[in-house]
Amino acid sequence: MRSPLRLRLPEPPTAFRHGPFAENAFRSHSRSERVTSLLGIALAVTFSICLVTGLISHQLQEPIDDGTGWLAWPTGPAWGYRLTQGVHVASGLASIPLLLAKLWSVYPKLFRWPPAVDVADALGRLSLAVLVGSAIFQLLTGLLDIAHWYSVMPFFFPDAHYGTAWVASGAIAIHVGTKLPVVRRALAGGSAEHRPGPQSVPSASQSTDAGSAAAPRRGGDDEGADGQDRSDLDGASPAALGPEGGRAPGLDRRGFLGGVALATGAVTVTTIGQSVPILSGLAVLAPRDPRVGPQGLPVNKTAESARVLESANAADYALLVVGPGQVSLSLADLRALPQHSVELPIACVEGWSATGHWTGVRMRDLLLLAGFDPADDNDRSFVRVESLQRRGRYRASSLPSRFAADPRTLLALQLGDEPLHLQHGYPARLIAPNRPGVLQTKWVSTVTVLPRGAS
Amino acid sequence: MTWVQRTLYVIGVAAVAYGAYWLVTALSTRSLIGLAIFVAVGIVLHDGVIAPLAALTGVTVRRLVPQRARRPVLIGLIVTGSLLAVAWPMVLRLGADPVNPSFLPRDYTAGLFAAISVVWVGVAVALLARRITRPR
Repeated sequence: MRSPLRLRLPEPPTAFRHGPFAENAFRSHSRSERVTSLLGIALAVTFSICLVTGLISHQLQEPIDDGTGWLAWPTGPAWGYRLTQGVHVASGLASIPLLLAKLWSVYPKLFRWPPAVDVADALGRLSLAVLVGSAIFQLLTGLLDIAHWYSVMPFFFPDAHYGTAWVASGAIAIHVGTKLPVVRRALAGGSAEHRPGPQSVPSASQSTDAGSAAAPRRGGDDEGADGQDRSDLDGASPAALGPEGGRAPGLDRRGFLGGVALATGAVTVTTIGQSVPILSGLAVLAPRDPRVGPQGLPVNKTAESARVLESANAADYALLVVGPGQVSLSLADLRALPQHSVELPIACVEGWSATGHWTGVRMRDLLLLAGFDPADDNDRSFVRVESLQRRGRYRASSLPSRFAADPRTLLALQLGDEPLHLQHGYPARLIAPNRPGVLQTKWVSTVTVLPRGAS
Repeated sequence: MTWVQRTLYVIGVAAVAYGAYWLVTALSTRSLIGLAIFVAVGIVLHDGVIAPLAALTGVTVRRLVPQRARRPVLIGLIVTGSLLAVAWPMVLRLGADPVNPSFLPRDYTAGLFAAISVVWVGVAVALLARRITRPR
């Protein structure tokens, strides 16, 4: 019995076989199974790093929960989130040249002739649109997000980026599964270099040897000029000449991979300084400079966009602390409490981070005034920290009691031994170790102890 | 099919299904349409614009640049293109916020120009080194 998937599709009229569809339309010497495999492995690594660090960040960013989700995120090291999210963005940026090169290495297969042999082949090729489309989507939206070009995205970025991350990761896992034999063969040695090009029609048996009847074969070269990949093409020796009547080829495979490696390095060097302070001077393409901002620290949410210009400057400002008891503290009251100083980073979901010297009241001291000791709570409760900001997804954050108990967690009143700049959360802001910047709530108005599970 | 492949397929199908389910339940229809359009635009932008431009550049280099200079020139173009691919949203400053000067604090046009200049100084050095070590 024949499966409908094996239903053969008619070949389009050869009159259409022009331009990129023509035989030998692609002559670059930069392509081979080995090149594609190596780039694929590099991308598998960078995308895996992005997935793991992204899942951590997604869990931590959930603004209104009791802070005790599946991830029992520790209070230390203080630079934990700074590291994971800095790596997330750096890994995503490094993936841009890698993905472009990977797609380049298989680009001729887009114009394979005939476009599809049978139904299974057609479905397999269509499924590649999910793989390629979701991978491009993740890198493009990530780049647009760190560049704050939100208005162009017709969806809420964190949701779309999170959901599509699962689709992209799954599609990549399936793709790696189908290509595993090809990768093994390509990395095992040179035999793979002498195979017919991908523009030849894969027979059913050839398709299945790649692990999937549906997937088009990731072929060897797009041209018959194999065996030249290891020769140094610079010498213009006759052996290095291309197949088309003596016209010499461009870049060989080693040169191509070397160029991609340099490009990945260049992208990293010109952006990583937004997370690594000593490299800030080189970060000419990074959207942030950790040294630049009010009081020498970058700002994300401005007082203007949070609409707190009046309330934050109000003379009658008072912090409300609600626990078993309740206490209201003016700014003078807060300044009269024991002051402590810490060095803690602001680590943004956008990858940049910068260390500040913060001074203020320990969160635990504040909570004790309301009759609650977070050190004696064993995470049965959490603390809701609310901003003067009236609206917005991140106007409040949840602080698990193990964070509230940490001596480094402050309600900061000063940055760099000066009163907090309004843009940094004057009159008072939360600063805690190992925590996304968006949850370091600014312009704090209320601190409330709630039982775990409350919302 | 090996057990490694089987495992990858099971994990992969589950992840795609979960992601699709999550998107469909979490996003509004409007957002989902926007997302689909974005995915399509990304594919078309690459397959229809970026890749053909790269191919055209390669063909042009083959025509205009002598054989022995091509390798450094093409490598220089790969690095330049990658820097452009990352830098454009910063250079265009489309997300700039006049209230927040700490965002996009640099002159990105100058920064991009400087980075590309370093690349092409490197290309020039490679070409010179080639001339010295392998005179014709």
